[in-house]
Amino acid sequence: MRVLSPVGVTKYVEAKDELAVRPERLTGKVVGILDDGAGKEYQDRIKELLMEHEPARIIHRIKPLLSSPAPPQILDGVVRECDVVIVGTGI
Amino acid sequence: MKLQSEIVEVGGYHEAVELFFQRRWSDGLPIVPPTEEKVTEMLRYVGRDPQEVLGEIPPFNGVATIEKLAINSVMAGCLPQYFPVVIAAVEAMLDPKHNLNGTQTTQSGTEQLIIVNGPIVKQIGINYGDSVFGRGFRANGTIGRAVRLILWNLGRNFPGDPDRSTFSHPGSWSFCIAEDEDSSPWEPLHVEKGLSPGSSGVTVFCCEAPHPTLAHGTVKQILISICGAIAGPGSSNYVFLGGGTEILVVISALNAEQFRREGWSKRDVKQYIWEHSRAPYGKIESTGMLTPTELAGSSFVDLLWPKWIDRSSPESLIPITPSPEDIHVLVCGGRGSWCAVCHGWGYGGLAVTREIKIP
Repeated sequence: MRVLSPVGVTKYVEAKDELAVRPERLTGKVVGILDDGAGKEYQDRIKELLMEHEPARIIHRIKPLLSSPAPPQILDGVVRECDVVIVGTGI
Repeated sequence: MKLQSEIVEVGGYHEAVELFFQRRWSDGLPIVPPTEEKVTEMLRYVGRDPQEVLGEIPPFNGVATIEKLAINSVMAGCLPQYFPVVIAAVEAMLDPKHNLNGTQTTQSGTEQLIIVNGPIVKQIGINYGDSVFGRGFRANGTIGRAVRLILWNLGRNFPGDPDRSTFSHPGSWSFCIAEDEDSSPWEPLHVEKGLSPGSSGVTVFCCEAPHPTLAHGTVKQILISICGAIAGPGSSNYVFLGGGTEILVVISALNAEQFRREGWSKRDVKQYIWEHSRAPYGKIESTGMLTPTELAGSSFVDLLWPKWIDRSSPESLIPITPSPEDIHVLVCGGRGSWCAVCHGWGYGGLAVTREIKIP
């Protein structure tokens, strides 16, 4: 008997299962925050903590929907503009 | 017909069933082996290009081609005549308004309910009467399961990885019903949602399992029971109010007669429910869920609630949805003294209606 696979093809099959290189320090780096809408107080506190590490600047981008991944144009933007990006709040 | 999916050689029927368990291509129940013959039969019935892409099913983003939908529909035990319903349901779920990524991975216990309307209901025998949310009918069982297998195999939202649903509910196996248009005093749901009379349509709404409530008597008595079943302060609809908040109310064929006798329109029903299913702000707040730990000091009230909601005192009454139009009303089920309420997720999974294209 010959049967067909029900599983879909995905572009993520090409994604690498390895971590990007981490900078040793944030000093002078452009740091991005990908905000998933968890609230101003939370994000403000993150920025306070980041400023203690003297980054060059902080870029704050807000996802339109907390429960879905950021759209490609936002992801491409933070990849282009930032050295490091903080993603996710743990909800 | 040239199919593009991987072909696996197996010794026979039982070996195929075991293989699908081993590869996690099954939802936990045995499947019908999707042979080339059976899949081709399904595809020939609808006459669409097998490589036509409907979209990507999150979170794995497996590409949903008509061929992949056919494979999973054969696995579920669908007849070819059921396949147009499956296709329309997937089209509806892929509407960005529905937020499929959210519903596939949320902690909440909501699952996609497929509601079918129009001539196709009787043509293919979808149950809309006794035990409408239960077992016993091939069309209901296999159409619902086909959609779930598609979400499983293309979306790969496995329990815990990354589907974080705390409880889920039995609708995650199969959750497909039809409206009893003969018993309803109102226009069918799909016509209300914009399809033309005489067409067949499917509405997909991500919701909790039905919560039955004893209801009979006058319309007011029936609605009092329904409103009581809605207004639990722990409902995520209250917490996420404004973030994508809808609810479904199901009226039995028996109770629908009373609405006809007393001349209530569907708009009257929605307005009454919206006004009388409110919960006190203080009770909602006392659950702690407006300001959960994860929000680190923020509140869903500030993030999501419409600004016109009065929360000036603990006694302020909070509506279950932003407007009466976010309450969906359906007639189905047996001739019993019951109605049912299906809460939405509150954060999406909104009802989307699509026409069923019958070849």
